[in-house]
Amino acid sequence: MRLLTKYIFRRTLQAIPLLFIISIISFLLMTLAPGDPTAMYQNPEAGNEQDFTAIKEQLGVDQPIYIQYYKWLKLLVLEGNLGYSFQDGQPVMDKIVSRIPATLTLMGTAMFIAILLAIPIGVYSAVKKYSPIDYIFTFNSFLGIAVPSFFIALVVILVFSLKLEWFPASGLRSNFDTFDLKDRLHHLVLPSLTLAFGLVASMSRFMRSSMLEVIKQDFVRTARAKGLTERVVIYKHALRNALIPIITILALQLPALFGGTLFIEQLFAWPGMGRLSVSAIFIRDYQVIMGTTMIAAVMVVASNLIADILYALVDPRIQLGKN
Amino acid sequence: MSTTTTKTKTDTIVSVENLKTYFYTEDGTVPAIDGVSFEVKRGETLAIVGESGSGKSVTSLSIMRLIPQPPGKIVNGDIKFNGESLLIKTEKEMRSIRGNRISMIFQEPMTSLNPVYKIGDQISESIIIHQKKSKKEALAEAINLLNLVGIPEPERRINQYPHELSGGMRQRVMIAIALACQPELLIADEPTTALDVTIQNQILQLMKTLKQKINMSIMLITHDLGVVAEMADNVVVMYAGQVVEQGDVYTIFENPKHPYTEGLLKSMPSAEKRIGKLYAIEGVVPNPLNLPSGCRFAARCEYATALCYDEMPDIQKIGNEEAVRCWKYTHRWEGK
Amino acid sequence: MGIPNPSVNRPVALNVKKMTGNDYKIEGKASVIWRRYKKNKLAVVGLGVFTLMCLLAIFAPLLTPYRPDVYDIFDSYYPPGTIPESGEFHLMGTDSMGGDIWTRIVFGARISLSVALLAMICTVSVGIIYGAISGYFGGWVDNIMMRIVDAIQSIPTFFLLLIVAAIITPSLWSTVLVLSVFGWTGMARIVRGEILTLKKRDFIEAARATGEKKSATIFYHVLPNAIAPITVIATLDIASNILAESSLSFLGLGIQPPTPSWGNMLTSAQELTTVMDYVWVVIFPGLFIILTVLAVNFIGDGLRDALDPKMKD
Repeated sequence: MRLLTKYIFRRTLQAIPLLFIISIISFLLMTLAPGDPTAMYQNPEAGNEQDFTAIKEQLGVDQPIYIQYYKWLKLLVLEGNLGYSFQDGQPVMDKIVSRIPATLTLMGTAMFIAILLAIPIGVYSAVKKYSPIDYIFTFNSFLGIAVPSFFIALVVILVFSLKLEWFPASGLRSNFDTFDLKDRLHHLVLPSLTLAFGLVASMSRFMRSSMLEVIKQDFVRTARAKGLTERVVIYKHALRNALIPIITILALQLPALFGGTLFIEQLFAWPGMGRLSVSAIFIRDYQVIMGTTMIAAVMVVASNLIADILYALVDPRIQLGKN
Repeated sequence: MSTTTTKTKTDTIVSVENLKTYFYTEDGTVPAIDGVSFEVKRGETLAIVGESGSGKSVTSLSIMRLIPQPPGKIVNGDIKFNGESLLIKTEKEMRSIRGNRISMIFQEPMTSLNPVYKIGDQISESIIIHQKKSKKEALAEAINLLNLVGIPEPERRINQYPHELSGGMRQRVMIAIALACQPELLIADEPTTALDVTIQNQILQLMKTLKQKINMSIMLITHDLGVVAEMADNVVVMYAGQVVEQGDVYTIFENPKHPYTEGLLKSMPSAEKRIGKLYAIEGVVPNPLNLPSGCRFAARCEYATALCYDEMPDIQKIGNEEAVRCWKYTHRWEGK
Repeated sequence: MGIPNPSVNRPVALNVKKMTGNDYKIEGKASVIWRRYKKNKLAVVGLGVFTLMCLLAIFAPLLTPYRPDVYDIFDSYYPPGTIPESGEFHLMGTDSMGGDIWTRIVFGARISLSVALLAMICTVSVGIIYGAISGYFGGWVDNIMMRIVDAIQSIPTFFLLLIVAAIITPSLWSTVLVLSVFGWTGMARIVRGEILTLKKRDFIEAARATGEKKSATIFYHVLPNAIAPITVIATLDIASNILAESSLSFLGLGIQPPTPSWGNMLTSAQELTTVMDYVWVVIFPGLFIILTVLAVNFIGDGLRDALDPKMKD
């Protein structure tokens, strides 16, 4: 256990330069691109040059980029403060923290559904390679990769919400008085299934190829030569080995999943981080965009760490901290 | 050949009769085994010798009925185990034979064990399914087996993972797994090829001792004539999916009939003839998708005549226990 | 030797075809690739569909009597197949502004496909150069360059794309730029990986020993060997670019109307009432996006099998 703590500590230290680079890239992109965060205050009819200068000064965007960045970084390092929203002056951290549970619920559920479906699909496709059902699954996953997530969302809303009226199409809940689990789950169904759709498609492909790789290994032949049933050979001997690379792939999918969440939250009016950043983008609220990007990056980095720890747990050949 | 069907015990443990196992690939049919016949007697060690691609491994997998299907298929012939055909057995019946009455060890000890399970679990697995023992009893048995195959500190080893063991140790573990249910036949597919020379010898000696101890037969698949000389009672030489010569080990070594066997023996390094270049048979194995219609060895054979290129010779008996597939030993031979 | 793997014999079997008697002919590389490619039926269909889409784009003006940027608001929301009093036929109906959907789809194909192709060319070039430099020089150069790739790949880049897209004035070229900014990292990684493996091979050593220049070595020896994965990734990039363009345009951050693109034809779908009542406005551009992306992915899959049997599955 002490080894684990040490490992986590070391990995966290290693993540700092990475996050540093990420912050620089994001900051540069935002500030170098032409555009003006004071635009939202501009009203061609009223107001004059003077006012904007004052606002710019107040927001600090009149200063050179490196000073802006230095200030931003100093505030973050010394106080753990991600700055204040240009829009309403609220601390960015507070805004994000209030949105994280919704996003995590959505992403977690989608991932859970995806794993639950993709593993058996992938295993079946690999074991019954080139069977009609494998072709059906293969075609479906190609389809899942080809359909834009917003399009799926539209179809799903159209069919299951507007036409059939089975599930609500927007928001986190209808019951605002108390915590109503049934109500919450009812709202969660469509957005999480939509988000899971693309994920199932790509994960089941990975699972299939990982499984195909494993079932031609020598130890699978050994297992068969022992007289084990095909079930035991596949689900005990092959599956556990095939799952090992999937852990990494799951972690690698996370940034893409964040991208998908952005649309899903937008279309299903799901009050999460994605929706927060999309609205921040439209009003050029740099501080909020910067904050959500950094938090998302931290989540990605953290999930990579978790993936590596899980990796070491399933694969006895891997020891934490050794290559 | 024994045709009696007294329930389990016959003198011949396995008889392979005119076996043909083909692989159907996108590019055409590969006759990996093309009419192979031989038998393994109780208590004997039969060596199957040949270059890679000669069909020796496919032969062993055919006996185990572990040919991946598709693309592979046993298209003709029969395999009898104690007089009973294995080809008509159900998959369930086959499972009760695999790992129990016929066991197998493979060439690659490094990859033949499952990396994510402990040694003890991998050995006890077959004890549990074949002998219906509890997990605890099976683990105790696993410790005995590790002792038997000469692994020190077996109590500690059963809790280790394969990657913690050396190649030689892993091959011992493979042997322990194979012997777990005291099989009547052990098929060893190049068991020492991947190991270094000193370890090779240890493993071969171990197999010899264990064979006596539990009175099993061994079908040893190898390309290494040194191993054959060390271990075998009888030898089957295979080339391009066919048996080209078979006989007892002394006759084969002292008086090889087939030009291919001759070449193999000549290319064997030996202590006496240290001087000079090592002999190598010229040419390559024919493309299995495009086999010649005549003798498959003709293109590499120094005695080959027009007859050899035109017609495939049959395998025929010479003397009591010997057989060879070569025109040289027929009345039609008039060549060099 | 274990279970005989038929693919072991493949190169011989594929390249040498028996002609007559004992003559053998070594087939040309392209014909071998094409022969393998043809075996994947979906890939052949994909190629057909993609070619068709390209033809639609090229011959757009010949395929419709209308112009994509001239329309009459009074013609809005005709369902597919309608012939209004004026006698004009609308195969796929009209949109909220009265634009003929078929017309906008064929002209939109021009925009969507060129954006995807141009962005692919950018990402491929940047990726190859970046990966080649990183892999060839190795050491600390490689270390720093790869940390940057790591960083970019840890950011949910779509956030940043949106930022860039929101800030710069949207146009065809800006959309290409946005799609290329982060799209090159995968390619860079692949090329670097290929170079690292190839660097260890003998023929590179041999080229060095004969005194070839470093950069020459890369271009003449390493890149041709990495061509299989590069082609496959480049193909799949086209598909993901089409998707990304449609996503950006859907949010109103990509190609701006009246210029039609498949993505911005879907912008109206943001209002659910449109989707409910005028479903054709959304369905047709959506179908074209899905069909094209499917086709390109099938092509990528077929190419992977055809170019390098080892990469299969």
